Amino acid sequence: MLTIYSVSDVSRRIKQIVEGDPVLAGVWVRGEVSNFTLHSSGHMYFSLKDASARIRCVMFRGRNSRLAFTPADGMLVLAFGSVGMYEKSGDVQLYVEDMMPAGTGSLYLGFLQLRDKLAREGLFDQARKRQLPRFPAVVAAVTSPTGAAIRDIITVISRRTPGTTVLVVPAQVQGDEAPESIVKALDMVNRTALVDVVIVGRGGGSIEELWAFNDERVARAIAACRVPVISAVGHETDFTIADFVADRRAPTPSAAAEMATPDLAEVRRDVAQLALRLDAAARGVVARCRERLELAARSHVLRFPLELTREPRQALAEAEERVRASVLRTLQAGRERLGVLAAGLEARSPLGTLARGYGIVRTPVDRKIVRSVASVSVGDRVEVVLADGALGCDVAAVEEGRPDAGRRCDRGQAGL
Amino acid sequence: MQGEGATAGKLGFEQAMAELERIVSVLESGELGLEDALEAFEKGMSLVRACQEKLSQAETRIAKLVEMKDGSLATEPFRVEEGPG
Repeated sequence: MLTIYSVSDVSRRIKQIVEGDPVLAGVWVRGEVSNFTLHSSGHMYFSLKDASARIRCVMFRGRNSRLAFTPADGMLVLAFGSVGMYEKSGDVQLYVEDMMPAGTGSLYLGFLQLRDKLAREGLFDQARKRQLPRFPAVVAAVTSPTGAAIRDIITVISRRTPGTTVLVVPAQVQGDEAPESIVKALDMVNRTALVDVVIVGRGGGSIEELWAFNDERVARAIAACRVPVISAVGHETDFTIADFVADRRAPTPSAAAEMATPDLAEVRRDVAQLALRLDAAARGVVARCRERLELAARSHVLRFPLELTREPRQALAEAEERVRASVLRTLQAGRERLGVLAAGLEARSPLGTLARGYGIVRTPVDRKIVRSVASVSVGDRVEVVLADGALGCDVAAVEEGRPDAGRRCDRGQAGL
Repeated sequence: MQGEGATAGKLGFEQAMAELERIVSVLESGELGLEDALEAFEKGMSLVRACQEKLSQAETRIAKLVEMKDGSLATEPFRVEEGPG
């Protein structure tokens, strides 16, 4: 019995076979680009070919917008995608999801895989990254001892912060032995307590020359470093694995040296600024203490007579002691200027006044000080406070007019 | 080779600066009594002098880290040579 199939049936069978194949569901293909067209829709249509075959390819706009390069006829590429069949045209096509130049082929794939693996381990996390020290005393440089990199680092550091020490830790920076050499150098840095920050890197070069810095061992050694690491792999645009792991990344060794050290002039200014603030703050404290002392002194002068509630002699002594104690306390804590102020206080104190023979006249009942002859009349009782006691007196006469030197004032005044 | 931390009165420059900033901050807060404030001021000024002294050092020291046969680490003088970049 002859089975007759429709075109659609046959087409569908081919589609099922092709799309059911596990390899073709996600496959890397190496081939040469030809008949490349960038459609106005943004989709890319081209063929990949080799010596004996060709296959049609399409890379839709969503995918190809992320391409790091522009495909062109004749280019050798690696393309990743799935094979499918477009029934309407009968074309079996590779639906390309990712593509890259084939020059560094499997090496670049390995780089991507390692990058993703270490990223998943958290080695690139921002939280892991340490702050660089502000004023490192010793900057280590893991690099070739004969390259431009070390010369640049030394030049920049000598210019910026001359007092810093540069500790060269020689390493091979390209070739097969380079990764081990760099790891060994970083291990030496770890074993010494001298270093504050380390620069790992080399001068510019091709991506192949920089490849040691994509090595897993180097990445782990950087991650395990006890002090902050600045990677300086001499490539403006491309990032190596070392760049991702390091605490900071610099595009060149010179830039790394600038990151590692502060500018001397700036630091000088910072120190000078701190000295100014220090001086101003200290003066502020002294000024405030002086204010408080003067306030206390004034209030003591006014309040002191009212404290004579008990026996005048004892009260006087107590008041005198309080003032003296207060003054002494301040003197102990203070400096010369305060001492001078305290001495001045004593001179103005009523105790000194009394000792010199003056008396304080008060009304006995409410103890208000009598300052004016107008506030008393003949026959009033007044209290006269002297240095060593007090007198109860009756006003016998009132005489107006200021006393001047040489005239005896023996009425309504002290000494009565 | 002595670490730079051996000078500046036992404090490295970084620590000296940090301590100085702390003292200034406390003084400015106004919390200190007169005696403490003056003591802090004196300490601060000595730190300022130490920092300025360190900053006046004009020479960059360059050394090379090497491993000896017994595995210990040592430093040697380093001279920049011309060579392949």
